[in-house]
Amino acid sequence: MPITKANVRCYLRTHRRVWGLTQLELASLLGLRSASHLSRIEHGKYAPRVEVAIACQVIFGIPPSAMFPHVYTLVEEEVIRNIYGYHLALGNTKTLSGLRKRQLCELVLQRAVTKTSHLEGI
Amino acid sequence: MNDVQPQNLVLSIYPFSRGFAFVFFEGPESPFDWGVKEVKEKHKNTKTLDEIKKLIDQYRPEVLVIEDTSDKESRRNSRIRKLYRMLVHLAAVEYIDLCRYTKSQIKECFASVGATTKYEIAKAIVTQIPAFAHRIPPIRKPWMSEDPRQSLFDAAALGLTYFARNIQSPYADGLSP
Repeated sequence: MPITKANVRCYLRTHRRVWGLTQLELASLLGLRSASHLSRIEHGKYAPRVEVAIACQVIFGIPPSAMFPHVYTLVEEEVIRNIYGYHLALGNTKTLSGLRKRQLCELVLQRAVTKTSHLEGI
Repeated sequence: MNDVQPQNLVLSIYPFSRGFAFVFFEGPESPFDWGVKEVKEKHKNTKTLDEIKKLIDQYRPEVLVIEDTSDKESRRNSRIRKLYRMLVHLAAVEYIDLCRYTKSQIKECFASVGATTKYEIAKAIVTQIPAFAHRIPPIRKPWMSEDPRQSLFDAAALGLTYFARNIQSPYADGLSP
């Protein structure tokens, strides 16, 4: 899913404002260069670096997948696509390691399918 | 497993003489974004509508909640009434559900927690949504003009009235004891 203005739902701004922090204050806590960099992350123009995502979890106690759901969705879709291709490539494998890898792929795909059906009624 | 599916947003808007306040809700206790925007230009309604359009384009809310000025108790001026008419049109154009509540409906909603004045309603909102606690204005004295922060609580009150009237309690259907 491409990041468009309509589907960006980043919760960093929400949590920052819940605690009354300014962009400058949070930027310095996260070790960012400037408040404008934080603003771009909040508006979904930049995906946060892994250090920033973990720092957000340290400060607010919210995991990156819940704090940056738009980034999580993008990464998840890309990975699922790769896993699906890899699973197809492993189709005729008979080796033990190959079977183990196929098991992982099936587990990942199963998780994705379960999640989709779980969300259908919402 | 993380549930990353975003929930539908409810946008409540409360215009006032110097601009407008807005609150995006994901649920009755979870505001997503909020703020007070001041509009100082000559054509306030046009500028205000532009700002609201930007917010709608950014977050795509499902429901827009505004005040119903048809109530006798409403004393909103003609500019604000015109702005409400423009918002009704905007909601129709953007395919957003529109809900309007009168002042008395809002008061009725908060009467259950013993809040009748604007300040008491703001206090009741803070109890439900602690995120707004540091935005609560001081008690207004007769010689003071209204604090712009109060409009944020007026917008929040509209949103909470929407949830109170639309979310049915599981025990309200008469089937449970």
